[in-house]
Amino acid sequence: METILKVEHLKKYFAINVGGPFARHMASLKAVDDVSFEVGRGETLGLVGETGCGKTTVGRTIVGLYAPTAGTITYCDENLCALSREAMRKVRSKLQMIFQDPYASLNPRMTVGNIIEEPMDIFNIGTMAERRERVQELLRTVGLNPEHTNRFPHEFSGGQRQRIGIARALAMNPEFIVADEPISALDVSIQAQIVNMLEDLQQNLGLTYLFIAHDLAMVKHISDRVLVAYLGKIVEVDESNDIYKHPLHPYTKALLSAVPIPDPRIEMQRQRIVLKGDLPSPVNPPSGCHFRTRCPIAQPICAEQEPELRDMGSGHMVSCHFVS
Amino acid sequence: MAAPTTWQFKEGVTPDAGSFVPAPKNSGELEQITGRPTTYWSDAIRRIRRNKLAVVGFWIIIALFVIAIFGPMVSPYSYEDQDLENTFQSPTLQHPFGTDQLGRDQMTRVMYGSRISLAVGIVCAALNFLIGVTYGGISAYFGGRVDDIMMRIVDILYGIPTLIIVILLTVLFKDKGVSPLVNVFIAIGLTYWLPMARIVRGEILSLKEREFALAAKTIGAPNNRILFKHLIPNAMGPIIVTVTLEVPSAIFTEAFLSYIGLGVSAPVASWGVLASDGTEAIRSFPYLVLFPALAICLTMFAFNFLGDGLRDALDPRLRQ
Repeated sequence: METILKVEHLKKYFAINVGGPFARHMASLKAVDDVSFEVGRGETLGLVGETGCGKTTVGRTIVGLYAPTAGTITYCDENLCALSREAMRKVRSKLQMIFQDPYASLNPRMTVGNIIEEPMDIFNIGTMAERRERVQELLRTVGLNPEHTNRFPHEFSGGQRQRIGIARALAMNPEFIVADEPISALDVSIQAQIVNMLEDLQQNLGLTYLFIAHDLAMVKHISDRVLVAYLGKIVEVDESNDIYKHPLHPYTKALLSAVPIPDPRIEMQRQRIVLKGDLPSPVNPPSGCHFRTRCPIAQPICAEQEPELRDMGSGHMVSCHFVS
Repeated sequence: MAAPTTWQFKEGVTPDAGSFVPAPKNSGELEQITGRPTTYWSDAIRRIRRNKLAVVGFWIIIALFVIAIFGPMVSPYSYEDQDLENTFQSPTLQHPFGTDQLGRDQMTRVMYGSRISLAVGIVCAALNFLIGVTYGGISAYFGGRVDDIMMRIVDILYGIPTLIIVILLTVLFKDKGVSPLVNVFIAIGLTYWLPMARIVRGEILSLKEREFALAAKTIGAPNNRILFKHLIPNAMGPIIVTVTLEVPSAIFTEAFLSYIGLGVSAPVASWGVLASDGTEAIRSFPYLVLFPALAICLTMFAFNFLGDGLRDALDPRLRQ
């Protein structure tokens, strides 16, 4: 499979002031700390992890909303981090994003038609009539009534707004879409519709997705491969079917044990792995393995040495000292 | 206990299981929206109509504009024509507001004064939009060092009282052929956009983190487009409220400056000059100060009521 996006040793630190209002003492919040992965063309890569593990930051850095602190992002053999502003703006049209909150991601003062048309307007594509035509076509593609171009976002429901956001992302015929928790703000019944639509779009338009979520069942359903992130690092990567059957990393095991089983008899006997403590602060992460403070199998070596992401065969990568 | 309601089919309708057809699974259009679309502005207009004081204020301002433009045109007197045989006349039909110490028609002079006041108001509003909004917007949008420097400049200017600026300008432009009215404009121009810059900065700071601003960035929108098309239109509510509350204070400043002799001077009539002239004769001819003072009051009230009404209508969160 051809690699469309390659992320190498990506780091994103945010400078924060920890010295209070008078003494300026800067510290860095390590939102993403040395992350590497590849995405193949036409694939859906799931990215899961709990709140605050840097999932959204990875997505936003890829589409260029944040400048990475270190590392490279290569998209179709072009290093995005080395591009000029103008060149970056052009490449961006191939890399789009679907946002988490459909209530905040649409400008409340613009009509739906203008929102979807805007990317074409910015890059001066087509005449007015052609653009209008394209807007109608996009609205049909995402299952909305093309007559609704003159309506404002607040007149639509959450699911419909998310469709508008998807139509906007599709306007420039992108190849790669970062879907940043596109369904977590929606009702469960609407979630399925949106996910099915994303799958249809992927088949028809040949899209590649980076699907960020914390709903494990949904990620399993939509993804070909899954990345599990913990505190700015990737702890496990595998084919999605495989990882759900044979998780290797203790964190992945704990995550999967939290997924409820829809059969009450099995559900009652299910053994849950409950993690102790809270997510450590990304300003001051634990030494060695980031997960060691909550790991049930932690040993002294975990505090001293940082585990590397090792290949356990057929692309199943794990970063833990005790997995073999 | 009441008998349980029994449900019946309408007459002529026979229940038939075959008549219930499950809705098609992928019917594309999943929800229908009906009803006339309401926009932010039509909503705001509806809210402000309920506020009687604001509506009254709005009509007073409109009347003021009409009088300022057409009043001096239709008046049979000019604001500077002296009639030394008819000085200090009490209000009559010929001179509804009376005449002043040089026999000039006071009503014409008050109407002419409203031109100056409104000119000051318009200049203030225009500068608020041109400088205040742009300055605050750029400061907040680019943030960091840019924001620090731009806001410190605002802080410094804030620290200088308007009065000192005007006195300095008067001294500077003395005998240089600059009309005193221009002095007032410059003084207002230098100081009255500052609150606007701060308010817009605050708004943009919070708006720029919203997802629609990030979305605009991901579709490749350049900075000026994001700022002027996405962020500032969303801050329009507070901007309009600030303008309507800034304008009367600028008008009042002009009246005050003219009153103490730093603004426009005779024979040009501004409300401040008229009130100042009137106070000299307040014991014998109190109506000379009464009418310009009334005009100032009425304008202040009208703008402030409208401003308060707009604030409630455009930003319901602020309502107590």
